[in-house]
Amino acid sequence: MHLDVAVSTLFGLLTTPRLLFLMIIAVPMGVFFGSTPGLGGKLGLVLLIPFVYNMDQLTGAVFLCAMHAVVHTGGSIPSILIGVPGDGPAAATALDGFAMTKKGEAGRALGASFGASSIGGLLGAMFLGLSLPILEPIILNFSPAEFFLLAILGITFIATLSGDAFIKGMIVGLFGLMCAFIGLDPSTGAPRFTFGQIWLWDGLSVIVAVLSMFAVPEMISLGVRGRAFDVSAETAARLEGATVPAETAVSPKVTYAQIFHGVRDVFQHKWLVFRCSLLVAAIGVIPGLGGDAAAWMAYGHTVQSSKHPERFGKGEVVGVIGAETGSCAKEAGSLLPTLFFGVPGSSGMAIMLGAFLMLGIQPGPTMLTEHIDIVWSLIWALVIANIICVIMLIAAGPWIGKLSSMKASFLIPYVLVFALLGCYLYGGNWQNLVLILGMGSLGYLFKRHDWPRAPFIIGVILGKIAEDSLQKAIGIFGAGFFLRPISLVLIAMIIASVAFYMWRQRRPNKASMPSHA
Amino acid sequence: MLEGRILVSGIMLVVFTLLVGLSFTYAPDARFLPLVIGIPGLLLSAIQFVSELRTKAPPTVTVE
Repeated sequence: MHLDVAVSTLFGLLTTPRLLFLMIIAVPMGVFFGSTPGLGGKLGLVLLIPFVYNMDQLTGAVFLCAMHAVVHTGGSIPSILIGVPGDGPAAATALDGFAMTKKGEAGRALGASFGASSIGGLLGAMFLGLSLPILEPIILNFSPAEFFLLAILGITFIATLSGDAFIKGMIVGLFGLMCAFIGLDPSTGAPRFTFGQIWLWDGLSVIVAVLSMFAVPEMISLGVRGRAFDVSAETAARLEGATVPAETAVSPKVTYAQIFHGVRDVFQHKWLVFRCSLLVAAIGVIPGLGGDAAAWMAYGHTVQSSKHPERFGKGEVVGVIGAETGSCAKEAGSLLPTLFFGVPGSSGMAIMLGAFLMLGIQPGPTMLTEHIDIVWSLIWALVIANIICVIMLIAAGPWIGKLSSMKASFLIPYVLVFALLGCYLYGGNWQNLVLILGMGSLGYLFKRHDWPRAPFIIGVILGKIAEDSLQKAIGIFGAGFFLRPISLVLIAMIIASVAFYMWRQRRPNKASMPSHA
Repeated sequence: MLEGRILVSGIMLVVFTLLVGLSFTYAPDARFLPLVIGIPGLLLSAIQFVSELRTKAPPTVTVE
């Protein structure tokens, strides 16, 4: 159970002023990025990555994890106040949250959201911590052969991340994999796809890949739109007229009494919160099924288990509680495959995985043997960030309405400067600036024409892992490495993953699955 | 006028053609995985490009 490590890391986090200070800074940043439609938590992670690479592994990872942990809590604010979801999972919150605002219960909805998301985050982190002793013997039996197959499994999840745009997602994912081969070939030492440029011998930096595919396109898009809010047709259809134009949105009045009423509602539905947290944390472990699906599954479970399903969508506080619990509990679950298998549980975790690699944290079984302190620190960071977040948000509740009516487009020059600066600081190559502008333009074209971008990041990250593991596996076990028992199980999972996707696509009246990018 | 969606598909087709072509110039060990990944990518890009060419552009609405 590593109880001694669990206690000592908690003590270390709470008694190290620098770590505590960084978490206190990370939480409002996460809320800000999450609550500003058009920015989002992924962009927040992307922008902060270049600034943590001078930090030590523990500090950098804890800072990013604390920020990422509260992004979804922030995302619920515009969903509730103006009916514009900051991200996919927050759309489930908007269904009942904005209906409550229209009934004059914005404060109660916010209180329920803050309480449910914090408790969901706490329970999700506990799920991760308690599952470690069960997973440890399994993970430690994994060899390079299994890691190669896990990388392949991760690549098949590209299809899930691509939503309905399967071919586009696969093309982008395969392009990411090809970009992972840039640099010196590990077996022959020959340069590949370097076009005679020595600075490319080390390969394509994950930072450049992430910044060019997310930061630059988002900012170009914000500039072109000239406004922050971007409600997809699908979300608008789901909300069925619940959204209001940003120009006419008025910050609703929020009082402490309303907020505490909402928090009390969470405790009155404690078993629902408990069930949703465990359900979603377990779903979050499955790469590709996290994200939007987890929040909607929690919402679906809430409706199914209610005695009054007809009230949902019309301002039922339980709907907000279920959706918010789901959004936040899944983060801990999706951290598990990211840390121990190098397979990101969601598109946000794909960026987080890139950050871990950049900090020198190599995901895999060694996380359990050599870096268990980092694992527990990240679990506690999730817990502490959620506690700090709920305290801050409740305290700032009455003023929080103004956050979502803020014009995001004025941030464009600052974000672009930070992105370019961060890109240059990593490695000190001016050529990276040219690369980020070229790839950023391609990323904007992807965004504009509905090509998913998360598969690119997964491809860049998993391509290197797959190639290294394949060579080690062939070296250790020969060409028949895939006949090992665990390998056969993983091959069955790969086939099942592809078959599940094809079945879902062929189902009549299938619900449209949005792209996670 | 060239539509954006066709342009993106065309760019990906050109990129994969270039990368697969370059892969053939490397030593057998070095080109194995790039070809395993690049050839399916090239085929999918071609399918997507043809599919975009055959898809009619959505009608533009003029507000007077």
